[in-house]
Amino acid sequence: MIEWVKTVINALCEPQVYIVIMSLWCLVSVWKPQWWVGPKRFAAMMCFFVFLYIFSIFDEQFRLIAFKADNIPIIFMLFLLVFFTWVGFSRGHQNDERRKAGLPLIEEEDADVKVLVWPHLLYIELIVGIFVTALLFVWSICIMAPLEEPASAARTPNPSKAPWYFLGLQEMLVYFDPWMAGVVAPSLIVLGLMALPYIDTNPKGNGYYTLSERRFAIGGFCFGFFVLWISLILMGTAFRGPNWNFFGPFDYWDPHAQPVLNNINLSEILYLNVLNTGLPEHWLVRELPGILLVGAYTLILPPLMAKIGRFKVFYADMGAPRFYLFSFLFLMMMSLPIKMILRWTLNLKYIVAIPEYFFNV
Amino acid sequence: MARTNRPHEAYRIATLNRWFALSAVCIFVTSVWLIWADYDRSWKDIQRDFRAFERQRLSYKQLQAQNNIDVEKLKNLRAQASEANEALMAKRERVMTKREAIKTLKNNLYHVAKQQYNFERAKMGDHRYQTEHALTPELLGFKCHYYRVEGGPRPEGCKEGQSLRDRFLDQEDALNRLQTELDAMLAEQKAAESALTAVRRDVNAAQKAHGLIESNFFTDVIRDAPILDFLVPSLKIKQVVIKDIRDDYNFATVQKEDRCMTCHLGIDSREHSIDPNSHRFVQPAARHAMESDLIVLLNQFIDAQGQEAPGLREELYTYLDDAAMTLDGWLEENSDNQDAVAAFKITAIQELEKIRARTQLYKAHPDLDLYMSSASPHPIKDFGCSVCHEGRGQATDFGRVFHEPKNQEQKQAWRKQYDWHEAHSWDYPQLPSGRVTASCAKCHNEEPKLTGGGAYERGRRIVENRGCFGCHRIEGMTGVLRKRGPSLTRVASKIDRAFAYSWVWAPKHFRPSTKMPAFFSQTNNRGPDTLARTEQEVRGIVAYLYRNSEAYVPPQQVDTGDVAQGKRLFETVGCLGCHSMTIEGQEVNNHGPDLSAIGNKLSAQWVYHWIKNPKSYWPGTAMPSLRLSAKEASDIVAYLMSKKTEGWQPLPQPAANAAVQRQLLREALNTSMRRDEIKQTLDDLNAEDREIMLGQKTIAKYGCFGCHDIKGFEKSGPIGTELSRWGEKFIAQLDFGLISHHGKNAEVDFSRIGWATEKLNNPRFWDRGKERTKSFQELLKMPNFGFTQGEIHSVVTFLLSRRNQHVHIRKRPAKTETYLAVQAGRRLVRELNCHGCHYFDDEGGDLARYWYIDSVGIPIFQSAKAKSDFSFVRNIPGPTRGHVPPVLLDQGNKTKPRWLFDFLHNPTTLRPQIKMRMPTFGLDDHQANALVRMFAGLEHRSVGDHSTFAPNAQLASMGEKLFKAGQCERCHMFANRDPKVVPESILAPNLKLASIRLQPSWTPRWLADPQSIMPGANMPNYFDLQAKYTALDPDNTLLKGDLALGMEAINHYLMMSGRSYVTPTSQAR
Repeated sequence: MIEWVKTVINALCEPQVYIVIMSLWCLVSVWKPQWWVGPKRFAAMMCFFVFLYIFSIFDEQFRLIAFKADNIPIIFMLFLLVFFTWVGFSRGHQNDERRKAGLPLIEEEDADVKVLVWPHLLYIELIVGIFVTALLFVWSICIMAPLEEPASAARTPNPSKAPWYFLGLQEMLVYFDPWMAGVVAPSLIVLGLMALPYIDTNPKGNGYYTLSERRFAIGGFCFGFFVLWISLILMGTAFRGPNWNFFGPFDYWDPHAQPVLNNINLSEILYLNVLNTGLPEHWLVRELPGILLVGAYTLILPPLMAKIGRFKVFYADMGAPRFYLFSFLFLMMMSLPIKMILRWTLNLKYIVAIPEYFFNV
Repeated sequence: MARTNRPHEAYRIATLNRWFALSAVCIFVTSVWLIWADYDRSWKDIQRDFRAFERQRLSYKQLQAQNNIDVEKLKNLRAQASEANEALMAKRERVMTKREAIKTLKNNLYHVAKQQYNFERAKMGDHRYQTEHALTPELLGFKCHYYRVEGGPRPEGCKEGQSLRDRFLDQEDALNRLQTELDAMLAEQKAAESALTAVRRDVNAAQKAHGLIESNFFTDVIRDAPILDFLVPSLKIKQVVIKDIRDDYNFATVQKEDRCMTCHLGIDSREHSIDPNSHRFVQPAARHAMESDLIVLLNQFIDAQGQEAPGLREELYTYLDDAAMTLDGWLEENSDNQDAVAAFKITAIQELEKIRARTQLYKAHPDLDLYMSSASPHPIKDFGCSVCHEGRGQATDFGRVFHEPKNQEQKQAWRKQYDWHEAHSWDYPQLPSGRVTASCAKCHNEEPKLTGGGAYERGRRIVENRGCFGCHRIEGMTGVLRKRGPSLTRVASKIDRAFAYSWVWAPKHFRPSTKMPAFFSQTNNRGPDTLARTEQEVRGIVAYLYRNSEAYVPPQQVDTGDVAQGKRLFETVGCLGCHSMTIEGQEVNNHGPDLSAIGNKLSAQWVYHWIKNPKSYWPGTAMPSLRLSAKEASDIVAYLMSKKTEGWQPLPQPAANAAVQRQLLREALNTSMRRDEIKQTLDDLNAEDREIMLGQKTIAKYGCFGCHDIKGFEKSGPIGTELSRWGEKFIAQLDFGLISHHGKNAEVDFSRIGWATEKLNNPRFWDRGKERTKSFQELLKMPNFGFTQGEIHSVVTFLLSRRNQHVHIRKRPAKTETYLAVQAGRRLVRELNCHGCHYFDDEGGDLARYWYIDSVGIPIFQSAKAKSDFSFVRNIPGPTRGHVPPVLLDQGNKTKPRWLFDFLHNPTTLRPQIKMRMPTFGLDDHQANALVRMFAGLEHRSVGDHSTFAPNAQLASMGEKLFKAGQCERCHMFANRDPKVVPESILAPNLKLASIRLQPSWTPRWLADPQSIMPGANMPNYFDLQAKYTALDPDNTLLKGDLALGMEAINHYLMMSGRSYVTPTSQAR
């Protein structure tokens, strides 16, 4: 029975399944907050997670990973993130309900009450600061620094992992050319985050929690942050073992495992498998379909988006320049799950593969 | 935290205050915890415990020293001292006056004069400096503005200084005079005092040492209190820093820092050395300090027994002094009440466990003469610990040192006791005890023989002997040492095909003791399919060898020999120096093959020509010629041919299977040819050639040429993994295959040692379960050598020694001429197996075990079983030595290099009583020189010594008289040519050879004390230098008491008389 449960959990953690589940969860959390933000339901959910964690601790392999000194903060982070997300979501949901019922928002209730910074703010900050310091003391005494063997150029660790906060980026390297995953994508993330305040024209949600008034913004953020960043960090930490192969939480990290990892480019799928004509000699001809596809995705899709559904409203609110910038960033973000899905369904390596000029997309 | 509804208040301040108080307590407690965690180190507890141990040891030592003092003597001395004191009291007045005078002189005059003189001297120094520098511009031709002397040089200053100096010296003389007078008055009393002190020296020393670590509040508490301990702590980390030995951290090397002695506090002290057998401290003080609790316990036990049996307590103390007895044994013997014993045992065993652990921790290094002590070649301050023991020398915590348990039981115990775990993040955990010698190779890698090298040395010999370096490149061995197996370039003339097939398939089938390992029918290739393939492979090998065998036709026919005569010759002429004959129980030497069933293998004709002249069949053979006559050779052949195992048959050879052979060839050619090319190639060959081609591929695959010379493979390199750096291999580089090495169900140790041990135990072990997934060509190929567990331990230790070293050249043995000569010579000695017959260099002479001398002095041959731990000097009595190959001690001092060189080339009869022959090895000059140099080097000298010795006729005639008086000819041969009959009393070399053979300086040394040169030698000691007496001249008429003259005279006589020696005919044989 226990083994069966472990097998199921291992299977659920397979990247494709895992990403789909995470995406669905994200969607449901945003669109149906009432399903989970109630304190009892949330408590039940947390209890379930804690139960899962405790259950897993009895597994030697899981324990080995979860109790590694450098993984402990990541476990903390998971629980803290879920908790604070719940705080935000539950307040937002309450406010939405209040607004529906015509009641004042939570934040409005004591809006006219003013207190002094000292002692009312600084005092509790001081107290919390002291407790955190004490916690850090205990942590530093009880958990030794995870020092490893002297670094050697001749023998790098296997798996070689980026610092934990970059594991999301490292996961992208599986799907994208290093140039894309290592240079373009991180730049776009930083620039995109900087641009967001100027793109966002929705004045609502300032100074109070809300969900219904900023559903797309919150949903988009949750998808980008939780699914594409945090959960990839978790995956990189706990599920990526030697040779960057995938291992379930209860699998032994066998460095000799040889999963099938044969991938082909779009041009090969098209010319060899569909048209049966053989690859064209010239790279431009060979890669033209891919280039057109990427061109269409980045250039043709945005104007089309402006004509449909919710995006139509955005277009009207934002105006053309803001909208095209927004849609570009949005499409870039979505390119990661798209590429993942293509990898799993078609074994697709690159859409455009021009090794002649070291350019792959 | 409680929110509040009161206006102007977010939280209730009173509650916050409580939280604040709580946080303050928290931070206080955690801060104290933090300081304590930083302060509380396991090594401090150990040092405290050691200090307690030392206090006890020193106070006991003091007590012991006190007891050792002769009470009578002390009493006498005390009386003398008091007498002297009284005498002094009598002249008290005068002493006081003298003292007073000295004091006055010192204070008023002496010090003042000295002060004035010192001031003046300082001024003079300054003045001189300035004068010299004022002169400089003139001398150098430029003007100097910086140094000016007012008023020019001041000669009067010097005069003044001189007079002050005289005044001071006068005072000093006066003072000295007074002091001498005073000393004379006090002399008697002082002598008595110092005699007293001398008697109490040991007591005082112990007292002083004890005083340094005395228990008091300041030492025990204040100095080592947390935070205060930065000032003068009594507990501190001890370390050695060695610049020449580096730790390699991949991107940088850093000087070695070892802190092992922080806990192993007695490691370099003889006071803490322990007995290797009983594992108890050797020094009574240390033993008592360690075991005093046990003594108390035992005393209580005796009291509780209620029966004060007389002598029981004394016996207890005898037990404590007799290291060999065990507590168990003592208890069993000394109590009638078994229940009480059983109850007591538990406590006692706990106490013993504690003692054992503490002893282990505080004991000294077991070999202080070789390591640690400042007089040894490896002092601790120059070498540290971890350079040999490995592990993390900087660490001061048990687990972080990466101590390595010696076995599974210890591992489990350590896990429980110290939370021990495998070193995941340290590449070189400690070498387990018993394998530390692997580190010897860091500096002594080039030495073919390393006394004290333990498992490393044994492993090295096995690797050299079994030829591991033939398949695995090992620096310093591959390409340097000769191949281990015989040449196969003429094999067709030696053995038949059926035998060859059977031999290759299973060498042990014919000769269980063979060095040739087994390739076939191993755990990964005995499945029916693989078996069929390997059978065809072996057919191929045989076919290839026979096709590529040169023609060799033994030139003559063999006469029929006499078996009994052959047996006698075989046993006495020297064959057993290298070979064994197991069925006769003759197993002392195993350098060459066992000849037990040789008649089943070889033809008489082949053997005849082989033993007559081994080099005619195989020019590169190591087998020497014993210069056998045709008759002797025929007799030996007859004997050897009679050695047949009745009914022994070669293993049946399967028929050729063309399909399998083609398949094998296809697989072998797969990597270098296209499929149609392969087909073409195979179709072009006939069946026989295909088999030969298969043989060629198979030989290439298994690397047979690593040990044997095979035509067509002259240039092939080793096929195995290089082992020159095996000891550095990371565990991840070792394939543990499908064998569980992880977690609770691990079958093997996840370590280099674990891996290599299994590999040597069964070289195909790591293929287990993979036979089904690997292709035939991919299967592991290493053959099975059938090593014993002990051999495996040694070989693995040798493998661990294969590492890059970071020891500075200054720390390695100096490569002097002598050093290099000895190493080169020892290497050759190993190849030639000189030690099979001769004892020298602390080794060898095993052949002597075949002989004993009966009551009338006739040497008798006896069969001797396998080589045991055998010490020639201890085990072979003098008379036997007269009939076995000679002991070669002091050879470098004894024989003339020129003679030795000639002798090695062309042995002459020196000791006609010995039936064994020194073989002719066919050495080239280079090799003979290497041996001559080695013998010189072993005596720490070079060969180039010249002597201007010329015999003196007068001395020689005196020598002759002494020679006759001593009846030297009774034991020494003294003949000008080889005698036909050798008298039975002859035991020693022909002295007529002395003038060409011996170094002139040696004979007198030998005569003076033969036993010091050759312990256990037959030669009597004629010259008693102590008593100034010699039996050769009992009434002292010749020598007039000058024994040295006598020895010199004999020397001159020998050097003179040997000139008539005729070149012996024996060498013509």
